[in-house]
Parts: sequence; structure tokens; C-alpha cells
Amino acid sequence: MNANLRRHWLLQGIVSLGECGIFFVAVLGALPKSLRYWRELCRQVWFVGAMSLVIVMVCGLFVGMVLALQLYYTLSIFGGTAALGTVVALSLFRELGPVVTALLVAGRAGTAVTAEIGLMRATDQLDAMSMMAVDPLAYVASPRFLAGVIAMPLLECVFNAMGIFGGRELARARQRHLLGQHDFDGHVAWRRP
Amino acid sequence: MSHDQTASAKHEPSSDALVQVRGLRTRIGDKVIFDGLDLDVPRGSVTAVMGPSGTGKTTLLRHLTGQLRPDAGSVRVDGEEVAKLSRRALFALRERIGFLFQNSALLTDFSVFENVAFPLRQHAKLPEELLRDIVLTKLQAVGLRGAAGLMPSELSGGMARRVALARAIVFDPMLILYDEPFVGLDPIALNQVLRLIRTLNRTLGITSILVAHELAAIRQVADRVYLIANGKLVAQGAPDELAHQNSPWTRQFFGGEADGPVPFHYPAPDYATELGFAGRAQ
Repeated sequence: MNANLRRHWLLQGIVSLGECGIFFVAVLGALPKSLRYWRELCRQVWFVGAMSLVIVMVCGLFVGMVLALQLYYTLSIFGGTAALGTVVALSLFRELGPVVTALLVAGRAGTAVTAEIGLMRATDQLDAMSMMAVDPLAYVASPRFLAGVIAMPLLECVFNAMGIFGGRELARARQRHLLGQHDFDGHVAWRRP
Repeated sequence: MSHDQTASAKHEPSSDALVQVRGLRTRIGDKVIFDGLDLDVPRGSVTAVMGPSGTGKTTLLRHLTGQLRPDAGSVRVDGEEVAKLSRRALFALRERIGFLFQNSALLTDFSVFENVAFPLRQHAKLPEELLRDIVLTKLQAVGLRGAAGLMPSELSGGMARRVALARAIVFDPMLILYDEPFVGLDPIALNQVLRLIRTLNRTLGITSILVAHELAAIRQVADRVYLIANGKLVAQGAPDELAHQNSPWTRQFFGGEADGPVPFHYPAPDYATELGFAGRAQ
């Protein structure tokens, strides 16, 4: 009985996965048609991109500062604090920037888009569009997907920039002994341009 | 007319039928919704589809618009077999059909004006002034021209339904499907909506199919009523004629009786057994 149930759930999982895959292909297929709705695309880029700016900037700033703080202690052991800027920048660009930005956008814009489409589904808005001969995939799903594709790299750049700025400001504060470190070795971690 | 006579009432295939349903069979999950349904809707008529809740009236409308495909049988609208249409052809057909949803289905991000303008903006390249005039004309017809700037969240249920009606008629379609159009309307709005349906039918020759339960309203507006129950057409005729038919179906439905061919209770195990009283008596 349990084995049967498990098999059933497994099958259900596979079916759901397959449906997600088919839906994704359908969204990709509707992309050319969705370009007709460029106003909707702009609205979604604004919603996914511009409306996520504050949270991305704040998180980027603090991630950069924390990264710089932790790396500074480690690098100062070897007298390598001059490399702090490079290490912070590379860590952000290669690893933390894309991952944390993706998590933030998924958490803020992704959930909002999911809730919005869920509401549209529950209140028959998608059926109404379809009845008005407007493809909901092209009008609703594809513009949101494309907006994510456009906004994500830009948000990541903002995140990285804020992270580097945060790291720089922290290093400058350390350089000025503002953070109360007594064993500061005198190396300049970040230089003014 | 006896029950059997009513249930087996065969309609004559009309060459001028805008909608033809033949041998429609549909099953959703384990439940049989339609089991060989046949009906015709003449061009230019106002036809009401009635029946107990859950009998498949809305499902029938979804068949007419190609949102559902039948398991067997055929559904033809304006001579086109809906289930066999390509997506493009289906969308072309839908441009000629207006649909009033049970819960209005207004687009929540758009104002009342933009909701009504939505189909025009998508399918007609009209100058903004002409588009505005058309939208305001339709809103005036439903008495909501003054509400053009409001958002759907600022409307009452009855107002939202009237806006949805304005949107459904904005293209002057050949066929309008009304799913429970009278729910939530006050007597004034109800009268106006009835008048509007009749006017659209008389002046533009628009065919209308109404799914509704309000017999008094249907008597005022419908030319013909189809009564569906247990997956089949069980009675048909003019509203007054049908209300006075002496069949168990019409008696139960129009008399609002709990006992009759349509069970009031959804199939369930024995009540006393389920409550744990079985065997405890005495």
C-alpha cells in the first residue's frame, strides 16, 4: 500500500516536472508574440527590476562590507591586505553576486509574480483574456519571464557595485582606525582614485 | 406532457442554428457531465439554459468557446466544429463571441475604461478618439459611464458585472454567452440589463445564450429555454410553456422541490452510519 502510494507520488512528481517543462517551452515559444505587448514588457521590467533595486542595493552593500571585514582579518595575517579589493570584487562577480541577487529577486519579484498570476487564475482573468482571443502565455507569462531575463543581469551589476562600494567604505574606515582595530598594519587596502 | 415525452423531446435540426450540439459526451474525473446532449440555438434568438447546480451549464458554455473539448460528439458554432479548430482559427472565432463570466473576471490592474477598451486595443487599430467613443457608448449602455475612471476593486459586485457586460459587447459580437448575468444586480440594474440584452438581440440580431436560474427574468427576455439535468436535455420550450409543463423535471425545478428526479443531496454514505448512530437505536 505504502509502496503503491509512494509510486503514485513519484509519478505525480514526474508528471508535475513534465508539466513545468512543457510550460517553460510554451513560454519560450510565446516570446516572439509577446514582443507585441512591449508596454506590458516595460511595465514588468519596471516591476521586476526597478522595484527590486532597494533590497538589492541594501543587501549588496552589507554583503560587500561583511566580505571585506572577514577577508581583511585573514589577509592581514599574511600582509596581503592590498589584495582586499580584488578578492572582494572577484568573490562578488564570480559567486555571491549572481546567487544572492537571484535569491533576492526570486524572493521579492518571483513571489509577487506568482501571487499575481495565481490571483488572475482564481478570478478567471486568464480565461477572460483567452476568451478575448488574447493568448495569456504571450500577454502574461512571457513578458514576465523576459522582464526577469532583462532585469537580472542589471540588478546583479548593481549588487556587485554596491558590494564593492561597501567593501571600499569599510576598508577606508579600517584605514582611518574608525573601527577601533589596534593591530592595523598600515597597508592601504583601498586607495582613493 | 409526460416525463418520458419531455425527456425524449427531440429538437429538429435547424439549418439556421448558430449553435449545434450533437451527442455531446463529457466526463470530468469520474463524473459524467454530459451523456449525449443535443441542442440547437437559432440565429438571432435569446436562449436560456437552465438546470440544477453542477449540471454542466457553465461547462456547456466552455465547450462552445473551445475551452473544453468533448469526449465524444460535436459542437458547432457558426458552422465550425469547435474542437477541430486550430488555435488561430479558435481565436478568430472567439473574436466573434462575447463571454460574460460568472465572477466578472475584470482585469484587476486596469481601470473600468481600460477593461472595456482591452479587446479593442488588442484586435482593432482604432484612433484613440474613436476607441474612447466606443468604450463610453458601451459604458453608457450599462449605466457606468461615470465610473470609467474607477478600478475594479472600487466596484460593487453588480457594477463589476455590468462592466464585464460592457466589455463582452464592445465588439458587437455575433454570439454572447452570459454565465449567470443577473446575480448581484439590484432590481433597477436587472431591468436595464434585461432591456440591454433584448435591445442587442433586436437591433443588432446578436444571438444570446444565458445560463441563469431566475425564471422571472428569463420569462422577460428568453425566446426558448433548455432544461438540462443528469447530463441530458430533459425539457425545452418557450419559458411560459415550460413553467407549466407537467413533467417531474419541470415540476421539481420550477417548484423548487427537494424530492424529484434531481437529488438534492450529493451521493454519500448512510447519514446515521456516518454519524455513528447505526445500531444504537432503542
